[in-house]
Amino acid sequence: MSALLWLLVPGAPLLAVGLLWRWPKVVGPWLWLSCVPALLLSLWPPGQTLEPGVFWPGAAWGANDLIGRAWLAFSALLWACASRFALDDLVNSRHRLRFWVCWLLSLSGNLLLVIAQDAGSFYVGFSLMGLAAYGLIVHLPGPAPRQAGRIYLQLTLLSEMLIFAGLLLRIHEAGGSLELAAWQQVPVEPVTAVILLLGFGLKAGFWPLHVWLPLAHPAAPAGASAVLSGAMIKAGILGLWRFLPVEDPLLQGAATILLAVGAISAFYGVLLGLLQDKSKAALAYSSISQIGYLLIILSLAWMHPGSGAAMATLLALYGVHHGLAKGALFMGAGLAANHRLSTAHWLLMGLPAMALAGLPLTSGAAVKVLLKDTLYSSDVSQWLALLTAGSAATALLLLRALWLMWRSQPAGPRPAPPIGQLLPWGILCLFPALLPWLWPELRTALFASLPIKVIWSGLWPLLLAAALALAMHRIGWRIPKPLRTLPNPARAWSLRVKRVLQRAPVPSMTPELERARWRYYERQWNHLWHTGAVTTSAWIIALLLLLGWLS
Amino acid sequence: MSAALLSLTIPLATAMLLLLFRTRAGTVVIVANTASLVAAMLALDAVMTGAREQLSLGNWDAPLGIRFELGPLTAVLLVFTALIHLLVTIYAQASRHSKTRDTDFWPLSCLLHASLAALWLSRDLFNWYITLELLGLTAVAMIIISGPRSHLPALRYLLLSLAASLCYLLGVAFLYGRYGVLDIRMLAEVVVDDPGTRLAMLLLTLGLMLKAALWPLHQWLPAAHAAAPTAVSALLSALVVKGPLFILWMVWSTLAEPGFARQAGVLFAFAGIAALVSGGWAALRTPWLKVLVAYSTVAQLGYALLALGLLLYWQDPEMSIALWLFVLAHGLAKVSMFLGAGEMQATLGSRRVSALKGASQTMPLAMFAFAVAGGSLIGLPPSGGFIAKWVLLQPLLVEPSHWPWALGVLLGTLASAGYVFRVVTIAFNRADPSSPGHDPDTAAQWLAMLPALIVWAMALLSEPLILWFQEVGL
Amino acid sequence: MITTWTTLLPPAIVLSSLLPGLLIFSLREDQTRLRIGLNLFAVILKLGLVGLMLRGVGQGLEFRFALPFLPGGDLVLHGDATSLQFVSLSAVLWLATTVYAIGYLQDSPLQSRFFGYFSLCVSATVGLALAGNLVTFLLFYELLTLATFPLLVHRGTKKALKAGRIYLAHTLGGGALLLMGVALLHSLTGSPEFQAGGYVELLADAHQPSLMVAFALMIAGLGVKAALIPLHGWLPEAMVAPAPVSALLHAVAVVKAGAFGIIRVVYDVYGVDQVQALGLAMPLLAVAAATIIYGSLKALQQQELKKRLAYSTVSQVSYITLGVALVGPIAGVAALAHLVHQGLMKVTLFYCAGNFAETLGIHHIQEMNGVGRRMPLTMAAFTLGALGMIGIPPTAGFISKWYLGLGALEVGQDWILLILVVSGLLNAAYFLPLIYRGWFCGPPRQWPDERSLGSGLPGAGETHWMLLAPVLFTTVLALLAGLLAGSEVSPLAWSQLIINRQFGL
Repeated sequence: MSALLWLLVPGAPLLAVGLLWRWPKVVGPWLWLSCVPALLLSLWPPGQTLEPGVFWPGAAWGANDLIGRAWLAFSALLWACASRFALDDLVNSRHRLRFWVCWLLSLSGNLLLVIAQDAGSFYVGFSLMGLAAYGLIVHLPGPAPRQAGRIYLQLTLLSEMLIFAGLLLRIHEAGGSLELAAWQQVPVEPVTAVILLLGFGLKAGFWPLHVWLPLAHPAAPAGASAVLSGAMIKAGILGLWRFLPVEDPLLQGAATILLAVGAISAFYGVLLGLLQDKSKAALAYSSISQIGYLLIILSLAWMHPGSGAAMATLLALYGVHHGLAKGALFMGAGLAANHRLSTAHWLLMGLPAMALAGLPLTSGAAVKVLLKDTLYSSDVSQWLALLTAGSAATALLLLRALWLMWRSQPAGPRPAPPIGQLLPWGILCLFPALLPWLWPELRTALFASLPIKVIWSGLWPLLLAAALALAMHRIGWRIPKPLRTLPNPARAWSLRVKRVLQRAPVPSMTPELERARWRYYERQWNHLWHTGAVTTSAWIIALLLLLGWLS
Repeated sequence: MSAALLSLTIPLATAMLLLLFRTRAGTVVIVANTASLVAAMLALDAVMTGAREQLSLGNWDAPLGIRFELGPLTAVLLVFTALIHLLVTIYAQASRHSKTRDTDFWPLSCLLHASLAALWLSRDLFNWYITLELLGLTAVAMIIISGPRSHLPALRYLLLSLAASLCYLLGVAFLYGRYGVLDIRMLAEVVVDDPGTRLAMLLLTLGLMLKAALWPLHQWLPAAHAAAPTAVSALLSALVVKGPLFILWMVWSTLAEPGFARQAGVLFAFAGIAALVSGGWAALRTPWLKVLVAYSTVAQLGYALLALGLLLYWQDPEMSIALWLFVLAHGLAKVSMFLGAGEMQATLGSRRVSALKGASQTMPLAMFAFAVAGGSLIGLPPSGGFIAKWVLLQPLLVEPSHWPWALGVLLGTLASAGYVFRVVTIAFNRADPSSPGHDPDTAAQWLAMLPALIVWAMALLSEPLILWFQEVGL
Repeated sequence: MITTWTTLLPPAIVLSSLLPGLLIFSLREDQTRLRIGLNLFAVILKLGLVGLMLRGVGQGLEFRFALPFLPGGDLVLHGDATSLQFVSLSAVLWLATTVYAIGYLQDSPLQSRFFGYFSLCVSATVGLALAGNLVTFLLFYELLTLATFPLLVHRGTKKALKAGRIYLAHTLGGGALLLMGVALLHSLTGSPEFQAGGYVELLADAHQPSLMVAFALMIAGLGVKAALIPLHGWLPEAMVAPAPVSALLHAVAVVKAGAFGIIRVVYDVYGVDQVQALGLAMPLLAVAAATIIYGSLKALQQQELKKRLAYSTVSQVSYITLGVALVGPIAGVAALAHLVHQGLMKVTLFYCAGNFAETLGIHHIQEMNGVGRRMPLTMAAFTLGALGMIGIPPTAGFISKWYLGLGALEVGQDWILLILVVSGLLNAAYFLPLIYRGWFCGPPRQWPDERSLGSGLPGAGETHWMLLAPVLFTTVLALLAGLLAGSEVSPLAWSQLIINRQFGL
């Protein structure tokens, strides 16, 4: 395999932009093909790394480690399915060209950051993805997307600038090396670590840096929400993994705090999610919760030096699992909002939902068991109970999300969903069940979850959640009124920032001149000399002579 | 030496001739001027190859006779005078607006030329007095050519000129009574520093300053120069005021005893800075175009005064070079400026600066000449003004204790930039341009431009010129 | 002096625009074809000559031309790597701007005058770039002031004249200060040719105060054109000039002359070691940092498109000064590369602003709503330029910021990172709303002043092709300068070469 093929990964979407600009009608339906090179390359056996020296210095592209390949594969798959899905979804929407250009740019950035083996390429991809995604969020008309977009953009820029600073600090710490692999051996300074955690945390969206996420993800069209929640926020986690060394005394010390943050995030997401009455908002909060789990995995990795390889596997598995499932759910929410779905559809929809909660025999159960085992063997095994509670909570939230979806279906006869949407969605929905059989690493994890005792320990929280949900449904539980409209300080702050920036209070540096007064003085002065040349000159001569005489 | 004398006598003879015959006066003067210029150049060439030359008129030696001396500076000044006179006469002949065609301008200007040439060549206090008188009278006469409007300024000029002559004569008399000689070289050998001599020097200085319109005795100049016909204004500003300056420089640099010179030098230098600032400010504020140019002469003479003052204060011969470079650059630039201003004023039909709106498109050449000449006055490289300023600045900057003087130069630069670009900016006003009364005269505008181009071309000659002056002295 | 082609090439490069410029002055208004022909001929000739010189310098030839001018300070034109960086930029952007100006000024009066001064302006810029010593630099620096002024006030309106006065007050004042500084240094050592590492080392003991004052004077003089606060006042006013002039002014001619001068003074007159030893780097750094922030804040306040761009220039050009003042090799690379990068991006932005104004009559930010739908190509170029200014990868601006940050860390000035981050955020705050309005807001029912240039359809015919082509050209260059920064022909690589010589690496 030629290393030059890596060029196609970010290049294919960019090429598609060009083609789309010229022949929008022809190219449109085939845009999903631009993910194919990435998908194929991720499945290909590891090969050479491409070092495109003509690009920014130090550029190196490839995917030879497990995380990179897994990330590339699921991102490409998700983007491909979402592309096909969004095509039919937006067929009558205005500004399609703008949407698709942003989409492809975002895609290109996402793929680039995954295959980046150097910090520069990662940052290039990261910013391209982050900024272009703005176009996806504000695509739909109305104030909500606009506000969501504003917060998103403000925080995205902040995060990009923080990462920029962190990036430079890391390069400096590494003695000028840009190679991400080499950074793993370089200890991190506290300032750098904080900056990077904040920067990537804003993108990943774990508590308390999540404020933009529940606004932005629901605001976008379904396909875009799918990639936003499924693929893009994972870039934050990938960034942390790539930029920070796995074995570092500083991070080891701070891991407990991060673990706590992850745990809070996991439950905070659920709690707030339950208070939403829009399916996509609930799903967005579920993403916050799930990112919390990813953060927990990261913290565990940092906490236990030497466990890097195992943790990488876990991270990859969890990332892929959540990415595909969440993507399927968001698309499903989009479908449900516009079409009447049949029972088969709902069953299909239930699969990714319950997989997220850890339904046995799915990828969810596999990763949960793996996570449990890891936690069990760690220094913080006392936190194990939280995981079980988390399973139940997730199940509850997703049941609510499903119910909200079901409720959001339009009344009256509607055409069945087009095949162009059903197919990609269906494929994604099936993946939680199929994935363990396709992917050896996940398969071993699944086998580990097969003993009946393990199945039961995974199943009972779900059943509990189902029972709870049923009970609440029965008693007709509604969200209590004071909780329905929670204050949103982030939105207020965003507005305030916008206002301040529009009227930046800067002192002027130009001095003010009082023209009239100076003109008056000048007239007086001119008057003084008006007596005439001869007299004045004579006086001056006389005076000077007198002075000369006296001295 | 004979060439130098020829350069003096040709205009003199022409003046006499013109008193007799008046046909084709312009052409005759131009031909005579060309001859005079060639003669001056030959004299310069002779000086460059040989040393200084002396000549006693009628073979009477000093102290009784009149001694002429031809040094490098004199030779250069002869060329300069002839060149400027030639340029101005060509303009006066060619332009519709010179208002000198059928007047007494021609013999008078030749007389002016001759008396100046005599002034450059003389080395004798009384001889200088005579040339000064001649110079002053012809100048007044030439101002009057432009009509009744100029009578009052001309009269004031005459009055002050007479007062100045009186002062000067008194000073000369004091010196003669004290030492019995008038030749500057002989006087330098016998002169002592006592109150009487100092008083004589003061009288001489006051008279010369008044004639040269050096600050604070400059007040007659703006009105007089502005009232004169364009060609005359150019001659007056470029040449006439430089005569007394030459004598002042000669007197102080040869007669003054170092201690006295140091005291006076500070005063001169301060007066120079005051001239730069006040002249510049006045030029910046005046509503009349030619008055602006005239005030700029006052300001530019401040540089010369500053250089003279510092020459005396530090006894640094380098300053003499700066002084005379200023004079040369200023003369050429000022000719261009007056001619350009005169052309615009006559074509646009108003004496006001504000009438120049849109002049950059209606009269681009004249305006360009004005601006280019102005660039030299400001001292923008690579003009002659820049070279002069550079030579002046070098000794000023080498010692930190001299830096305050450089501040004066800086102020002068800024002020001159202010008044030059005041005019230029207005000329670019396209919003409501003043339309010319009649077709602009292209040839005349080119003639106005010529001296400005020459002063910028001085840059090419500057290095050898400076080195030559440094080598042989002035 | 033996005259060979290597001696004659530097003056030929200067004259290749000067002589056609003078010829253009003499043309009548209606000789349009001849004028355009002369213009394009001169542009192409200059490009060819610059290419020749680039090749020659690559082969190690030396290009030097000298004329006697002042005692101890000849008029020297010298093509070295640093000057070539600037000369190439001017030549390339002159090409683009000439085409743009021809399109822009169609049917407007006084074109001969405009193009005459336009050529003079470029000659002065190129001369300044090729200047081999301080005296020569000073000469072209002043000529540049003079040549730009008529362009600035070309419109001849009251506002233009006011801007012209302010411009002159600043630049002539700055010129006078520079003159003082140059003369002061000249009085100590004469004006030898620029040399890497400077030539004042021997004076450092005996004349320390003089050296410091001379440096301060020269930086103040150059700082006027480089728009360092508090000397930046002219730049925002100068945006009343016609768009091609603003573009040239902000990208190559004037502000860059100042920045280039600072580079010369720090690197080739004083040398980084002396600047460091005399304690001059830190104040310069502080001023540059303050300018970056102040410029951005002021840009936020502006509601007029070109004015906002102008304040952005104030901020962006100071990156160059910042890089120089950091006196480290990496920061130096950033400074030199940004000289080119900022030029390409800013020229693009001003072209775009000009296109909006000419085609649709858009001058204010509010009027930009939905312009991306009417003029997608121009708006795309604008977007790329603006993103570059913010420093979003992979545009050229990112590369500059990257190296600047690394350079700051290298010399231990970590706080510069904060400046870069804050400035990046502020840049985003004043550029992103424009992009938002252009792409995401709905267009008005009627544009303020729509003119029929081109076919009027979005795309290739959205405006006159002569207005569109330069925009696309410079956008592509700006993008490539960032995207292909690692290649051997990029501004970055060339800067690396210069800096390696400077620091003896």
